[in-house]
Amino acid sequence: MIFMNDDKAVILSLQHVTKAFGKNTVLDDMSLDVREHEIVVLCGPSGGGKSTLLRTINGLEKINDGKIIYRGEQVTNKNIKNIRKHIGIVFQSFNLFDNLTVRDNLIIAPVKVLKKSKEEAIRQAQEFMDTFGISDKMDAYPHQLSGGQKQRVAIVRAMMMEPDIMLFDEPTSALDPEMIKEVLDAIRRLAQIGMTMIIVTHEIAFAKEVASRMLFLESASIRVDAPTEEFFTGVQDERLQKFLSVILK
Amino acid sequence: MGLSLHDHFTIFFTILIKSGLPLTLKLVLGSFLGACAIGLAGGVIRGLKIPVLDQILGLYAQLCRGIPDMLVLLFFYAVMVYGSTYSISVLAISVIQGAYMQEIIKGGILSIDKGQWEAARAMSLPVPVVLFRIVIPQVMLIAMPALIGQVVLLIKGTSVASTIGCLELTKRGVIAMARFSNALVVYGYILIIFFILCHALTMLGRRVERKVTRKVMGDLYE
Ligand SMILES: Nc1ncnc2c1ncn2[C@@H]1O[C@H](COP(=O)(O)OP(=O)(O)OP(=O)(O)O)[C@@H](O)[C@H]1O
Ligand SMILES: [Mg+2]
Repeated sequence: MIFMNDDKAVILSLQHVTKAFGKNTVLDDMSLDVREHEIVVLCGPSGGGKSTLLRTINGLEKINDGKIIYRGEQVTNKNIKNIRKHIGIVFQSFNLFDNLTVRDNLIIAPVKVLKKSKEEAIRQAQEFMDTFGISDKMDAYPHQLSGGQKQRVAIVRAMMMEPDIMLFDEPTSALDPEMIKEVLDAIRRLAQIGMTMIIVTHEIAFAKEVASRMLFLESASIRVDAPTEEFFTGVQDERLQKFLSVILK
Repeated sequence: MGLSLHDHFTIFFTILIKSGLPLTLKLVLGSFLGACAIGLAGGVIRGLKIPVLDQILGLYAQLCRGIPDMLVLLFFYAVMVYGSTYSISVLAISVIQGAYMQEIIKGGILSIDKGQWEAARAMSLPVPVVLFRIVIPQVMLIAMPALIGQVVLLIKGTSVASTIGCLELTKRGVIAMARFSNALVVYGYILIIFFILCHALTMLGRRVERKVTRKVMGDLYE
């Protein structure tokens, strides 16, 4: 486990970020720093704004107020395309490209966006696929894969962009129980190589194991932000206790 | 009034198959290509909801669906200074059928789940790459049955060209009527030819559909 370390560089910083859909404020004056090699796990009740938070970090949603700073550079409409290349995201619903083989799913962005050679991209893809135990699926189409395999391919696809930070939005909640482990193992591997991650998950045991820091999001704000140990044992917060008791039962 | 076997032969082969059918096929091919070009361009613009153009094309689709085909053709015939009856017909039918194809393709694009667009956006994939490598192949698959149905309508719709004197099948038949005055036989043959054309296309369409499915989604896709 990697504990919070103030010496490490801040990769990502949200400062007083506000996001509303019409009158519905979903992120209310949120601030958050993520340091290199940190693994931040977000949890909280449905509708609390977890997905929206990840999506704003990736520029999939525009913010109404505040700033997002990536490695010292404020994210703007202009540089978002560039910054996004360094931020990987894995969705609950995989979102693989249905008409492309796994191989093409993996290499399309590195080739078209990072301008890698096809051979180099394929070699790299093969390596990741080996690591995650699905190297025999390179020629398969998404509809030929199980949910767990799809999600691992989605993780590899994000990794192919050589991201600086990875965002996971409930990566296992669309999976059958027997497939959850495969995907969590894949994320564990990323943790071992020191990948910085922000993970939304309801797998509390997994969070306890990998998280360096836990955030509890509720009604548009970060209600609790604490190192993992403290989060589970030392925080006196009625709502958090209630949430944990429901989810741990 | 009885027709001799020779008359039947003259009507069916000499007039309809040899003189009329080639022009009908040319009309079909020409307006098919035209309609596809319009439909693809318009459908992509509407599918991407590009402001202003989207609204204009929406109006265009509504107009074409609301006005009888013959009026559109007559309008083009009246305003076009240049062009043969053939080329004017191709233009008019392309414009009419293009509107329908546009709406089909727009619907296809909108039905591709948002997730794939988002994944592409999250990796900064350029929009043209997403369109041509990912979205349009899937749209082709989804929209194929509707598009084939539309092409059948296009084939049938080419007979409207007869109203401005384009010598395709129907017009040949109308002229032949003056000579043979047996509507049942003359129009009966035309009907049979159109039926065979449309039926053949539908059959061909099914095979193409299977091919496209395999090409787009790999084997074993249900
Ligand atoms: N595109 C959108 N348009 C309008 N409202 C939205 C949109 N996306 C999210 N919301 C609203 O924002 C709020 C937060 O949603 P969000 O998906 O971020 O919650 P969440 O914490 O991820 O919930 P869950 O655990 O159910 O995934 C909800 O009230 C939701 O209805
Ligand atoms: Mg969510």
